[in-house]
Amino acid sequence: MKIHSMICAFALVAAASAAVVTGSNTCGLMNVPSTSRITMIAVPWVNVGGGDVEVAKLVKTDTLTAGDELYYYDGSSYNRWVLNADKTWAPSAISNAQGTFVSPDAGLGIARGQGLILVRQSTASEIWVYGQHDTAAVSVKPAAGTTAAPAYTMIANPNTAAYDLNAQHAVGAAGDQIVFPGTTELYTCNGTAWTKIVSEQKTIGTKTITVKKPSADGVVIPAGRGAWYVSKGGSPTINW
Amino acid sequence: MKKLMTVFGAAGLAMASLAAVNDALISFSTPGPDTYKDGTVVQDGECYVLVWSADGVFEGVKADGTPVDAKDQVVLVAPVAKGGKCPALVYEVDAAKAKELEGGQYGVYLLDTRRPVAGETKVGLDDDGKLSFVNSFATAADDTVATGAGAIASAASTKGVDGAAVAVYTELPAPNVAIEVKNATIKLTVTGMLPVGTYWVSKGTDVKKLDEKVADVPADGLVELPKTDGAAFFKVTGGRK
Repeated sequence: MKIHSMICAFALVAAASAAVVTGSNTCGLMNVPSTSRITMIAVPWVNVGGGDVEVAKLVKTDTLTAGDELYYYDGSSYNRWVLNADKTWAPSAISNAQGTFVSPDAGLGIARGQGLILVRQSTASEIWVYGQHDTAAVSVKPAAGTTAAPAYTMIANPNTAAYDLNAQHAVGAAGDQIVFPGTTELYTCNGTAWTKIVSEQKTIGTKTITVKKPSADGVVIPAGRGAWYVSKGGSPTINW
Repeated sequence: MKKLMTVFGAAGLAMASLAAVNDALISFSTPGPDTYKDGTVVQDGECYVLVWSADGVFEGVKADGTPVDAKDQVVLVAPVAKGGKCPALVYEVDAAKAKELEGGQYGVYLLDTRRPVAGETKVGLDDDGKLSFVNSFATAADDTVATGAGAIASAASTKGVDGAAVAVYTELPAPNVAIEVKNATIKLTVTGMLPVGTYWVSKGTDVKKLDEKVADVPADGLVELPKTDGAAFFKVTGGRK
């Protein structure tokens, strides 16, 4: 035990401002609006205490329906979870017409910036994700494919704000596409910018036809949402 | 015996740098002039004793400087009197000892260690640096007892010093928060708190601006909040009581 004699005139009993200590972590909660039965959701958080967040702890379950499903593509296989009646996610392998889906480890963790696919039975049920905020920068670099053999990469926005690929200069090669699962929205890159393909009715003589053309709308990935990047040559780094 | 009265104040922040996290810094001083029981102004080099009592009633010290009540503690004997008072002192207590002393009360007492040595009146510790002579000791029932060979006739007892101020500063470690959401309720669990701290939850929709205080954190660390409509961030902040 040490004793320190104060030589200077310290007002020891004067009430100084109380020392304030800030918590070591910040936790967060985010709603992911979606009207689609199949929704690609981002992993915006890490585990409380750090590290990859466990899938079973990321998605709030009491707003969902028993039987809802989660899928995670690890590059070679689709890992599948099913929501039990007690509202817990359980690994569950299955083979059906859509393919073979494997049962993951119960504690499988997924890094922030990755994506999951949620399949809901009711599009009215809310999607909420929660965990610990992390300030580390995350990025994704889609695999480069070719016109003959496109490459598919899941990209997901882990931020709480929307991400505009054109504004962020994350532009791919001409012909690259971005598709939001569960929707008919299609975005195509012309080599310098992303454009949205929209349908337009045209009347030629007595016939009315539907033509598709690019619009000025770029690609904006909503907060907490994801999409498939279909590469036919491009591989831009997306810095979330 | 006089019930301990302690005045707690916030120690200067510079003292925090002297201690490791969870160590406690105890500062004390007296305004002076302090006197022995016979009315004589305290001599330079006399001993002040920082004491601690679980029940807030200090029963006094024995002739050898140990507490009369075994449940009390003599935290520090400081032979530092100067100019008729105790100068400002800062005393560092390690985390384990600080935790042992939580919940009790501190007090500053003046010891009367005056004794004749070679024709002069000497005060303070002995040649081995120990407290081995106190003019008297006192109990709750008997305020004044003269003891020991060589005791000064005034038979002063250990004396609580009026106006003595003791401040205890403990650095707070950063707390942690965990989140769980069930139904329409956000459940936050805060850990890493200390009893000397007070903690609260702040919320914001931008992680860089968490400036809305939404709840105080109770001792069990459990906070329940209504679910938000959109994205929300939660952080815990603490300060010393």
